Amino acid sequence: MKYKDYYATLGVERDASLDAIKKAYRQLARENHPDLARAAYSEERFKDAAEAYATLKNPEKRAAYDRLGAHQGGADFAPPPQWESDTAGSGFDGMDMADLLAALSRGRAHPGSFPRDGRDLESHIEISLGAAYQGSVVQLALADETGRRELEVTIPPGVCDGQKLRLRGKGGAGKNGGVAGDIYLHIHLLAHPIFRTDLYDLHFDLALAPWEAALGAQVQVPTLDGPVWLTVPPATSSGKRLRLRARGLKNRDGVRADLYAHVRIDVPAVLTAREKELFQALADVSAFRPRGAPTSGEPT
Amino acid sequence: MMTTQTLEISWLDGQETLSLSELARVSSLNTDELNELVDYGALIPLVFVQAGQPQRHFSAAFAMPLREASRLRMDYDLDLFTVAILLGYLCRIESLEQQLRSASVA
Repeated sequence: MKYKDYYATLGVERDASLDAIKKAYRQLARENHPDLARAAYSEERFKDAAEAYATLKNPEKRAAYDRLGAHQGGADFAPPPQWESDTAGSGFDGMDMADLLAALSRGRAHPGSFPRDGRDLESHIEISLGAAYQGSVVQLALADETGRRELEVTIPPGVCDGQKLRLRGKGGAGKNGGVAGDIYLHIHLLAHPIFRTDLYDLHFDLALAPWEAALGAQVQVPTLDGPVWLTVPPATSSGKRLRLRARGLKNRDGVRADLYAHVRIDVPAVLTAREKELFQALADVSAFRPRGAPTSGEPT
Repeated sequence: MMTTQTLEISWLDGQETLSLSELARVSSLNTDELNELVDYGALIPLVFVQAGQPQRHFSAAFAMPLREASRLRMDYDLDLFTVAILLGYLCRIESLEQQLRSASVA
């Protein structure tokens, strides 16, 4: 077993007070926490500091650690005498410092004699909108202390972007009677070329010609079930939302949300002479003033 | 060696509830600590009656923010009152993120 100098890890003296140890740990945690730090070495430093602090903040564990004596960090060291007598020399190989100190501080003869719950695992998966709508089966590749394994997860219809799911008892295996951990799945929906999602509602942009918006029209629009005809009422302005009831995603109870068409009025990039003539005629006869009457004179 | 298992899932959202002991398992906090969070007003229990006894259950929507708050508690050695404050902010962040997603598509 390699010796770890927990005091050096935290940068404190061996006789440091608990307050000093806590302060040193918090400073290191703040500097190296994976949520905040970006440097490659930060996560390792954070784990080392957390392991050191877990031992030194606990009086029993700290006393057990101190009884091991001072050694050079990283040096090989032999098991303490009481360990040999307690265990008849067994079980030392393959242990780490945390196991050893937990066993010593509890006064247990063997580190394998107390239950340890399995680790929880978190996984982020991306699924398509179609998979969210129809349900899907995803393969999770997991790696933990038991090795690599693959898990087939059936995701039923009814998930939405940001949904969290729990797979109970499928995380890391427990030891010595400890319960298995769980898996927490974070679901992300892949961007769709047409539809945007808001929980279970779907939204898309509906481009209309000016005359379709003014006069009303029957237009073909996409839905998850294939194209349908939508009636655009006369005098539909840009920005208006048209609702297609029960054409969105299904929630977990099987109830379908709605689909919203966001109207956007497009104009031809290039007008033919005839189109220009007709638009000009419309401009000449129309009293429509979308911005109201101007307050002064002519443009300069 | 790779092995394949098939299993079903449970949902962690406002439509589901978790018992006190299940929430303790999910959050790595013990039941006394969860009850203290209730006392602080950070967790709002739903009381069900089972076999004539009132039992505390909680919206499963608390599960992930509470796990996060519990993780930060361990990482920074925070006290439980700080966890209560954190939980409020984490729930608020989740709600604001959802509002942001909604606003960006509407």
